[in-house]
Amino acid sequence: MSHARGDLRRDRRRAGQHGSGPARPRAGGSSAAPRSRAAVCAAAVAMALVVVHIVLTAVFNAPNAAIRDRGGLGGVASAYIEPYLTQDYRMYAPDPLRADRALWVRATIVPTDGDALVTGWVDTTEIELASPARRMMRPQPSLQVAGRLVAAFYALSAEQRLASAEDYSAAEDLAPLQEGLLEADPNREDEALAFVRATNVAVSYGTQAARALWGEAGDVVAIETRVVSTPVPGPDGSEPATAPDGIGTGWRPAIDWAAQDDEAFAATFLAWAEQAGVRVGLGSAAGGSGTESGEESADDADQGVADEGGEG
Amino acid sequence: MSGDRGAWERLLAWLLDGHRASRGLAVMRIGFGTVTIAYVLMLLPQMSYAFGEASRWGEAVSRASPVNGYLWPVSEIFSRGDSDPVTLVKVILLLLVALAYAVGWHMRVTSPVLVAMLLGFATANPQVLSEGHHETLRVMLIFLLLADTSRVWSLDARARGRGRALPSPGVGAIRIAPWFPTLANNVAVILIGAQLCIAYVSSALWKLQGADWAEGRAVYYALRVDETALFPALNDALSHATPLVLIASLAAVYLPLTFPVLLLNRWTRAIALAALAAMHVAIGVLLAQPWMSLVMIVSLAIFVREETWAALAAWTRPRALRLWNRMTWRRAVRRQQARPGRG
Repeated sequence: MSHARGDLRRDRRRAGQHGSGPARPRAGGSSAAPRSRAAVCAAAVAMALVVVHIVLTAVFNAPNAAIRDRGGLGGVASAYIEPYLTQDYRMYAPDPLRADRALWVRATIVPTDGDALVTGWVDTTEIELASPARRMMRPQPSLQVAGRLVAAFYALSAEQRLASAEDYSAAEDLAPLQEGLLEADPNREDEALAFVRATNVAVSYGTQAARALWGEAGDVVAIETRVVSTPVPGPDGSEPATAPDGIGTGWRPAIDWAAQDDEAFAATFLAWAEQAGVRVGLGSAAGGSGTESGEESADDADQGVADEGGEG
Repeated sequence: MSGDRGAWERLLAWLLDGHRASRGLAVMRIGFGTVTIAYVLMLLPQMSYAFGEASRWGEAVSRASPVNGYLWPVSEIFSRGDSDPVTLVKVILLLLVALAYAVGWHMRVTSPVLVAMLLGFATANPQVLSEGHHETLRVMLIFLLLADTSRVWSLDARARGRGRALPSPGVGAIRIAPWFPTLANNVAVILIGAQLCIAYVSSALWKLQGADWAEGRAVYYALRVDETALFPALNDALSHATPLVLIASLAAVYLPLTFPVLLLNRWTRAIALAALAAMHVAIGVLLAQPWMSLVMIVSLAIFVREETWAALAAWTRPRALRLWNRMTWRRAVRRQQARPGRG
C-alpha cells in the first residue's frame, strides 16, 4: 500500500512538471479515462475552424496582392477579419521614412477693428513633440493629419492636384472644393472624397491651433495647411537627395465642430508651444511671414505643388 | 495511416488532457492589464486633447471609422458626445477593470468586460485609440476570452487554493462539460501562437518589398527620423555604427521571417524568443514604440515552457519575499523610532 502511495506521489510530481493537467498516459502503459465522443467531435470541429481562421488571417496579411485577390479570398478574409480582428503589420515597410514630416498651419484673422491679417506659418508638429516623452504617445494628431493629407493628395490626378491649390476660403464649407475636384477629373470620385475628408480634419485641426495661438487677436476665418517633409542626411553623411519638400493645399474656410472644446484644446496646445519655445506673430494684410521662432518657415521649404511623380 | 492516427491521438491528448500554457497565459494577463493601465495613465494628463472634448475636431474621420459599427452595447460604452467629466469616470472604471484583469480577479466576468470596454474606448477617438498597438492588443484579448488566464498567479487561483474549487461554468445544476473549458483554453493557445507567427512573417515579407531592408540600411533611417527619437543623441550615435545598422536591419527581417521554423527546436526557440524580446526592447527605446513592444514581448510568453516559468517563479519568489520582508521590517522600525517617548 505504501509502495503504491509512493508511486502515486511520483506520478503527481511528474504531472506538475508538464503543465497543470493530469499526467499524460505513458507509452504502452495505462491510458487516461476514455474521451467522450462529443469531446472528440468538438476537438475536430475546433481544429477545422482554427485552420480556416489561420488561412484567412494569413491571406489578410499577405503582402502580395495576387495572393489576397486569388479566388476572391481577399474579400472573404476582409469580411471575416474586420472590424474586431483588424490588424496591420506593415511597420516601417516597405521602407522606413527617410524624412521628418511636419504639419504647418497659418491663418487669416479678422480683428474686431481692423483689416484681415495673415499670420506666419507655425509648425504644429514641433509643438506636439515638444516633450520627448510625447513621442511615445503615437500617433500624434498633427502627424496623423499630415500623413492622411499626403496620401490623399498623391492619390489625386494631376488635374485634381491643381484644383486643390485653389483658394476656397470664401466658401462656407468644403463643398466647392469637392465640386472642383470632381470637375477636374470625374473618374476619381473616391479619391476626391478621401481628399476632402483629409482636408476637413487638417483644416479643423488647423482652426484649433490657430484659435489657440491667435484667437485673442480676432476671428479665425481661413486656414492654410502644408505638409513639409525634410529628408534626413544619407548614411555616408551626404546631403539628402532632395531638398525639403511639401504639399500645399490652398486656403480653406475655418471649420468648427459644435462638440469641440476650443479652450481645452488651447490649454494643452499653448502649454506645449511654450515648452517648444514657438511663438508666431501676426503678419500684415499683404500676407507677410511673421515667424519669430527662428525655425525654417514653410515658405522656405515650399516647392509649390509637388510634381506628379513626387513622393511624400 | 497508423502514423496519422498516432498524430491525431497526440493532438487530441494535447487539446483535451489538460490546460496548456497556464503560466504563459497568466503572464499575458498580467502584462496586458499592466500595459493598459500604464498607457491610459500616460494619456490622462492630456485626456481632453487625446480623446475628450478637445479632440472632436477629427469627427470627419472618426465617424467613418469601423469601430463605430461594434455590436451594441460595446459601441455605446464610450461616446464622442460625452463631456470630459463623464469620460473621466468611464476611464477610471476602465482602469479598475484593467487592474482586476491584471491581478486575475473574477476573470470569467472581468475578461469580457475588459474586452468590451477597450473596444468601446476606441470609439472615443478612433484615430488615436484603434490603430498601432491597440490592434494587436485587441486581437490577443479577444483570443484570451477562450482561455483560463487565472489558473495560476491570480486572486482566483488563491481562492481555489483555499479549497474553494470553481465549478464548471453553468447555471445551477446545468454545467458545461469539463472538457469544454480545457478545449477552449488550448484552442486559444494555438490561436495566439499562430497570430504571432503570422505577424512576424508578414511583417518580414512586407519589409522585403523595399530595398532599404534587404540592403541593410533601413535601421539607419529609422534611427534618424526625429518624430520617433526618444533619445536623439543615442539614436544619432547608433545610426553611425555601420556594422550595427547592417546587422540590425538584416536581423529585423530574417529573424521574424524564420520564427515559425525556429520554434520547432527547444534551443533555437529559446534563442529566437530572447532575440525577438531584445529586438522589441530596442524598438521600444530607440523608436519610441514602447506599447507595441510590450504587447509583443508579453505575447511571446506563450512560447516559454511551463517548466521554465515554474523554475523562474521558484527562483524569484523567495527573493521577492525576502526583499518585501526587509522593506516592511525597515518601515516598521522607522515607525517605531518615530513614535515620541519610545526607545
